[in-house]
Amino acid sequence: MDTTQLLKGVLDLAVLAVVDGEDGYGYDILRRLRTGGLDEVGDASVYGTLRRLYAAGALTSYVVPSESGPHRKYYGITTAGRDQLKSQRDDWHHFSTTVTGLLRDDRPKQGAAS
Amino acid sequence: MTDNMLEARPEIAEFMTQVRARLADLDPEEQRELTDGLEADLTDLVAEHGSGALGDPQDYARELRTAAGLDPVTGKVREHRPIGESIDGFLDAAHDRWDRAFAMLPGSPSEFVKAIQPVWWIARAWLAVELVDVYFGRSPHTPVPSIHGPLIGATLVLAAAIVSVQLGRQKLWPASLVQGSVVARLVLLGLNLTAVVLTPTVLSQFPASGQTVENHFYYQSTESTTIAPSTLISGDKGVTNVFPYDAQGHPLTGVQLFDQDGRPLDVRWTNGSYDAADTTAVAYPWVSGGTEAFNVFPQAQRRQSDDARVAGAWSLPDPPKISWLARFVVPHASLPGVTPSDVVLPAGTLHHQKAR
Repeated sequence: MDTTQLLKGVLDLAVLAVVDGEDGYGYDILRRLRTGGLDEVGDASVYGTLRRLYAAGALTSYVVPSESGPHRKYYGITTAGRDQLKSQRDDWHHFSTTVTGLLRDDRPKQGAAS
Repeated sequence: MTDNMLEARPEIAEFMTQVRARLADLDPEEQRELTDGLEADLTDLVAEHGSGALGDPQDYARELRTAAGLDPVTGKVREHRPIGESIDGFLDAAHDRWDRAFAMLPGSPSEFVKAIQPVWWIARAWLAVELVDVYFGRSPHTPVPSIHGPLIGATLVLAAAIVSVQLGRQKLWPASLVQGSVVARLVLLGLNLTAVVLTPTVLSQFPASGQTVENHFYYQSTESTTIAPSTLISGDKGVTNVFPYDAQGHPLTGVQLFDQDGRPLDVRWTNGSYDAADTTAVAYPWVSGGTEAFNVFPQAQRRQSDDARVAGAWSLPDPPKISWLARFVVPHASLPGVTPSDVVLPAGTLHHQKAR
């Protein structure tokens, strides 16, 4: 199954969850997502999502200059971001439980024996 | 800074330029927001997975825009791009298409091309020196350039080869700036194209086996003067006039010349080149027994707008004339046991006389 479409729906949630644990810069966050199992996630998708969440006020950002190369931009979660994470986490649990229930093998089939 | 970063940076900078170009329709704040810190992230990516991980900047920009909740289509970006970026983009696209077409062929031809690249580096160096040789070297043309002797020619080829290889390795300008400068990129492209285009020219300069040296000269001289194959050759040029002097260094007018078989030395020529005033030099031969004698020297010439001889030119206000070489001092000449012709010229006789 192509998980790209599924990923699109939950990327905000995944990114917020990862940043909630610890502030991080773009590539660091990408690495955490991939280590967490989302190994098909594209880097531009993650960076774009970070920018959008920042613009929406869910994330805050600060620049850390580097002596060895270009400066890094770190992201941290805001209170609004935590609220969003909490409500989306609840939504996800509800949604995934529902879908898992629908997919259960022992669920009585509609129109089967009566 | 690690070596890794140093190595990766030009590619990342180029990639960033390409991505930025596809964000150019956004307002500056949005652009900054999208690209700030991106270079560091890409540097990490390249350090970990190599520059191949960068992918296509267009796809990247689209993905970035979509994820950021913006219109994925870049709109009219291209029209507003500075000319340099447009050229850059065009070259990149061409390069991309070439790479993709190449990748579809079996047997990884791109690796083969990479492997034989140094051969081209040496070949273009040799071509460059040969090209100089065509114009300044001795004739006939040889595979080892003979500018002032084969040793200098070979040395020049060696020096050019070093320069060319350094260019190929992107260690020298303009190749060292190819990632960042459109001008450098175009200069390099131009140089390579010139080398390719001029290859047939240089190769055609070598006399084919069995071809006589005379014929070879004939081909070489066609650029400004069309000369019949029987013409006289001096150095690497066709002779268009002869100025005879006697043993005492006095100029002689009306000297008839014949070759070893008694044939008249025929110097027929048409001057194909026109000067700034749009006139060309046309030769008017002497006359011998009612026929034109092209072996009598010096020949008279007339500057006119047409290269055909004008009937009755001798009666015109500006008749054909012999232009002696100005301030040309001819030394005395002698040969043991040979008495030179005793020619005594009265002073001021340097005007044209018709032969009997």
